[in-house]
Amino acid sequence: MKKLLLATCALLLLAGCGDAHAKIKSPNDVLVKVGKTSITKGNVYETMKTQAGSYHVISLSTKAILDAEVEVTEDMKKEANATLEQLRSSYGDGFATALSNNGYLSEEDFLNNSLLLSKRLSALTDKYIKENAEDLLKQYSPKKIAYVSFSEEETAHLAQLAAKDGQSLQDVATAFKSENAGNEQLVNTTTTIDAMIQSYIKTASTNDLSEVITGTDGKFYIVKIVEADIEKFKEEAITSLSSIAELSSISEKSFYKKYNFSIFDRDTYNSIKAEYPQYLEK
Amino acid sequence: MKDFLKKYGVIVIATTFFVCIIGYFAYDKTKDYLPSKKQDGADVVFSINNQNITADALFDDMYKAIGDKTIVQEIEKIVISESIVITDKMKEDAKNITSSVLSNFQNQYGAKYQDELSKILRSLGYNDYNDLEAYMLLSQQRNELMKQYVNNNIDTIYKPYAEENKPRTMSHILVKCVDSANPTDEEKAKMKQIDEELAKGTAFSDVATKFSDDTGSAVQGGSLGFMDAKTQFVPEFLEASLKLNDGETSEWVKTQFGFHKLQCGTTKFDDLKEMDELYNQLTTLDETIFTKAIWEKAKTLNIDFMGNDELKASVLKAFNVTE
Repeated sequence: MKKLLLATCALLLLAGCGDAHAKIKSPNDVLVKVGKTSITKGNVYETMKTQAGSYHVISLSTKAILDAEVEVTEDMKKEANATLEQLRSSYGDGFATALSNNGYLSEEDFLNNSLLLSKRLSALTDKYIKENAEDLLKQYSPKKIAYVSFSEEETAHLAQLAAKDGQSLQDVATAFKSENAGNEQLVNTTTTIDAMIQSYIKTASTNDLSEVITGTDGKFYIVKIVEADIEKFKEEAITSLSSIAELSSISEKSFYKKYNFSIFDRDTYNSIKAEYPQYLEK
Repeated sequence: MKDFLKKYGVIVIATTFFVCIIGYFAYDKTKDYLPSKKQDGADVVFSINNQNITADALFDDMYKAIGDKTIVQEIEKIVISESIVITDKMKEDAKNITSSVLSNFQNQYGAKYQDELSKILRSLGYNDYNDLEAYMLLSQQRNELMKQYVNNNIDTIYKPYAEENKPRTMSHILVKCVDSANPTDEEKAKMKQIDEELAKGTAFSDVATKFSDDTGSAVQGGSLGFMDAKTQFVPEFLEASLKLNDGETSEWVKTQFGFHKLQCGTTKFDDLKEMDELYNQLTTLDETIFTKAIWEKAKTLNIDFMGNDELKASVLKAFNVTE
């Protein structure tokens, strides 16, 4: 009983201890004095941390990940410089002011921390896609399809018969005045197409031709599966995954986990939990 | 054992209960416990890929980007707080504005309104939504500081502005027309009735309240409040407004909305100086007025950059002043 009481008291003491609060080394150094009040390094640190701490922590962490994962190539530099040149000429004399208004210290700062950074982030997502291609292909299930759409159901049925007889969907589109051209396209589970088409594609196989599908928008669709076997267009399928918007944040999240992103300051933890919770998921 | 339980049973149960309560309390307090970390005696804020980023390194990174701006904000806060005494009216106004902002945020964001408000306040250097009233109070003090600065510099600030922009207060009575180019007999009759009331000597505000089709201003006796040459009124209305002298009433002015009878309240600085809109307009047209006001006060408070000339130069640049 005594031991139990002692252990409980120890826990109670621990509960009374404060969380981690990382402080700078000389918080009392005075930077400016105004009247009776001093602005110390500590004041400025706390204010900056409140205003933009989480942004800077994420920005520094992302740079650390990029340094470990993505080399800056000559192509990236060339592309970034070309964009810089383009912006410089379109803004003219106002370019320096525009950069300063957006928080950049110089053109070099903008080049490294915006233009090159976005190239490196894209490269990071591409790397994640390559490393996880098999799983991602299963998850997003890319397929090559073609479809035509009509506002009249009767026209759609006639068009479906023509397609069934062997006419290509492009020819059917022209002959029956489809609202789209019936061209072949690569789609995945995130592609913005009618939910009823997505539902059909999910289980269909190569060369399948749908009956007339009534879309959620009231239009009438005919879908042809051009190729459902990923092995036959794997490289193209992998490249197409980079257009999936959510993959950039999924990729970053995975690298934060890989590089063991850990926080040792309660305020920083709370602000990141509020503004960038995805990076805290373990 | 049986005898022990008979003798101390109640004590055992009470103690077990007490231990469980403390245990739960301790667990609850420590479950989200964040450990601290040090590197070479310095506090670490976060680590990634085995790199420790200390508070000092984070300070340097943030300072490079927003250090000067943060110091300028801090100077502003201190100058305002030390120069302007908080009055009861300021406290009351701050309280009222705070409740109105809270209620607007609640309507707009529902259950998440505190988070949204906290985000905005954090970007202004405050901790969270609990600081809203403090922020509003500082805004009241800030307005007062501006008033004092403008009133002390009438010749250099107010007069050039007034010559160019003709500030004044204005009221109007609107007779709405379906087609302003061809008013109906009913619309014409209403205008005639208004003219007759005014000719009888009925106060403009009373006629506006009774007859104006602009329901928003009618309840204020037709008052549109402060305006100047930059106010976004339709051109015919603006032009006619600026031609009037104190107390004058215009003929009917045709606009896309119908016909307006205008009355100029005052163009006198002594009347206008009580209106917050005047100071808002002055700072909108020239935002350096506020920074100059702050710098002037900062000098009287003997601002000292502790020998850091680089910081002093950045702050002067931000305040748009030269020494």
